[in-house]
Amino acid sequence: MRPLREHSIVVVEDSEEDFTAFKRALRRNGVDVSVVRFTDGEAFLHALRDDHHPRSPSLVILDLNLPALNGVEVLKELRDDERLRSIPVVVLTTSADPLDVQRCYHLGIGGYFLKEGDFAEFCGKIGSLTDYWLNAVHLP
Amino acid sequence: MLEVDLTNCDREPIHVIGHAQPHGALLVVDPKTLAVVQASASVFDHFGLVADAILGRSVLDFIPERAAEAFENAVADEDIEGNPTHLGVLALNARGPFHLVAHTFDGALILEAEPAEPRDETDYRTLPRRMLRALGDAKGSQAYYDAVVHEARVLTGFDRVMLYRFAKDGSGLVVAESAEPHLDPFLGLNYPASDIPQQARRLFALNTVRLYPDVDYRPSPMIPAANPLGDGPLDMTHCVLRGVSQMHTKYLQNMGVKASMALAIVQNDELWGLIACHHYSVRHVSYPTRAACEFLSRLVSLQVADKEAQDGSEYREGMRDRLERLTSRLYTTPDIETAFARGEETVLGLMNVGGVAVVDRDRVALLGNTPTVSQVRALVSWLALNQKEPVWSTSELRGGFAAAEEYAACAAGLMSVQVSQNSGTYLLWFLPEQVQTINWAGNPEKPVELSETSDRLSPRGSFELWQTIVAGQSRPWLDDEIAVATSLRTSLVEALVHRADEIMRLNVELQRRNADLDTFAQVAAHDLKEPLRGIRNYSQFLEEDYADKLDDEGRSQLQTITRLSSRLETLLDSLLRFARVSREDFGDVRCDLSQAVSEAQALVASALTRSSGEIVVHGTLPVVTGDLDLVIEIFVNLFTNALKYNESGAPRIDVSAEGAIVRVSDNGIGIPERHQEAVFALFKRLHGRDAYGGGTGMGLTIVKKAMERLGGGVTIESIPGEGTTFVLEFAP
Repeated sequence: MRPLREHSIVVVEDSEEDFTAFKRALRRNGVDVSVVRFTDGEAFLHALRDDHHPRSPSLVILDLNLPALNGVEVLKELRDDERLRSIPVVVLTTSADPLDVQRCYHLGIGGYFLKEGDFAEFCGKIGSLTDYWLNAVHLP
Repeated sequence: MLEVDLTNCDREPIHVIGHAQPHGALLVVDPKTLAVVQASASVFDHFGLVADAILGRSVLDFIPERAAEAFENAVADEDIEGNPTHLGVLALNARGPFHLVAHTFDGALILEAEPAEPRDETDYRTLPRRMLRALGDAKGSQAYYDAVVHEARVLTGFDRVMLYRFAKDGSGLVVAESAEPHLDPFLGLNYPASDIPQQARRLFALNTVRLYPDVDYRPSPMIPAANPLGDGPLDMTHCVLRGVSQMHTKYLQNMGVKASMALAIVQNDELWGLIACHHYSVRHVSYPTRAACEFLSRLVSLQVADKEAQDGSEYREGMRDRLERLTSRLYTTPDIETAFARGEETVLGLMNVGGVAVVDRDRVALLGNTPTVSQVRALVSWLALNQKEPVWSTSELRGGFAAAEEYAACAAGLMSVQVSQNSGTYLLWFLPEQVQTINWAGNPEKPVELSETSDRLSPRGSFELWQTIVAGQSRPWLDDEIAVATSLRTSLVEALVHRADEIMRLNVELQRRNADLDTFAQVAAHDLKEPLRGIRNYSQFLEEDYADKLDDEGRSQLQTITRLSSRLETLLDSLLRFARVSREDFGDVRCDLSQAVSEAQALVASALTRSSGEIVVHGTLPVVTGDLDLVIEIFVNLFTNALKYNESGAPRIDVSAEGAIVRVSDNGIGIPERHQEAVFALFKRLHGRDAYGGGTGMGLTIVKKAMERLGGGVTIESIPGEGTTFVLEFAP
């Protein structure tokens, strides 16, 4: 297992405020990993496919409401690409629409999280999430 | 000779009656030899010779020499075949002078001689012009009829002149009358068709003028009885002096009438009516006057059709105008009843009828004289099964539908316009029984001289017989009226289709707008939540990071911001839930209410514990049509409310069901009746924002919307202070 320091999380999130909240939650949980952010799906996919990229992320935190290519479409692209298929993806979004939930799990995400209004609760969730993915499970 | 009575009078062979009226003399002459072969007995009275003394002799023996050649030329003229022609005024057998009328028929030359009046004061030259003017000035058929009888009376001087018109069924009606003031009027009298048998009508049509100067005349038999030139008795079809039928004589005698003249009005070779003249003493009418009468009757024959057509066309135009106005209302009113049965101008005024019923599915509107509502419904049920054409009419409804006997007085005649058989939409026009509208002024008390064989032979007798014939019948429907009803139906169907299209269009529009609205709510709620979350988060971060730099007031203000944004988020969540309830398509699924209730119970478990509440389900709950999640949402909302709005300290919710109706009762604070409708409104709370644990005011809105989506509804029963019961009507 890679030491914590060597994990990297990629966050695909276009909202500045939401990203700030996420980072804060990570800090609050004492998670010290490198976080790379993309504000849109295209750029993210492009970077992944770029052979010059050091290594694939340990975990992708994907918002669904993205400009241009939306989250579900990004997921599809990931799943269709042999090289990118096994990257763990977790969705962090506002949409509680059962259809969205269904679609995402169908496309093989590792978890679907709702953005909480209550920051304390949000922190708790982020804590569970990172603990699971970065500590508990073995990553590909 | 055939003994004629009421049972066989329609077979009385009046054209070969075998005798002449004695006021003239009738000679039958062989056209080839000019020998007299048959003569009426009255030749004795007029020529002073018995019949036998004339038979066999040449007719020229009796004609003045100077007239002989003209006579021979005239009788050789083909034009007199079946056409009695006036040959002139001359002496016959040195007697007279006589008006001599001749015609040939069936191989015989028939001469009829009537004594000429010495002095005739009638100005025959101006007569035609005067008549034309009087009749031409008349406006409308009634005025025309009145002018006709007036002119005829002036011309002939009879005590009574009537214009008598035949209906399609052959019965007659006195439509106009000019009479001596002391006489009982016969105006408005109806006669059954049998009063004037078929053979009499045929003869009237051929003769144009029939005169009986003395009904008590002594018949003057033809001598010999058989016509030597033919087979059997003389065919007197065209004879002016032909004898009168026994029934007619009896009838006139019963009335006290002594002299009678009838002028035929003919339309298309058929008898349209008669100008009937009666006199209460013997009355002769001179040949010239009769000729003027013939002119009058031919004139009327020509004109009467136009006058009636005028009436007809006025009625028709009037109906068309009213029809147009009525049908235009269809496009501006919501239903048939409002368009046709309300307001100043209703469908009752469209035609001359007694009453109208407008039946639109389960609604019945009655105008004028009609059967009762339940009778009309029964009639419509019958029509739904039996009416084959879209527009059907009858003048005797009880003939086809026995139950109509009950109301034959007001609805003997029916015209039914079937707009929709399936939905039972009909327009029904009713005509009253004809006898109801007849106002004959005939005196029922007046004693009539009757012979023993029949008191039927009298105007009253005729009228009573006519009444029995037309009992239960209305006047016939006019072709124009049927045409108008058909037009109305077409317009109505068009309007309904138009309305259906309009409704469909509006529905589509409504659905589109609803969809837009729901999408809007959905999107708005969604997009609004993001900055809202941002506000909450940053307020919190501010509080955490800069708490030490803020004083109490500052911290309190920040907390307010957090609290307010929290509230806003809750409201948005509710709105989102509401929008989803409105928008989603649930399909035709079934839901076990027991399962829904127990799952809802689980979802409010923490609230139950916190409030020390309990939920009790009584009996089994049914399976209904509905989406499980939606139903759970409904119960969660109701349970949450019940637990919140409770001051008893031990909230208790009872759930029971009767069929597909579920009752959720609580022992809470109750809802006053005047607010029971308002509580379902969006964001509506009856209490302060923070009272009873706060709330968005959306809970019941969602419940109501959800019940509607499930094809049911929700109502409230509540007494403030005692509790509330929500009655949920599910679709079974």
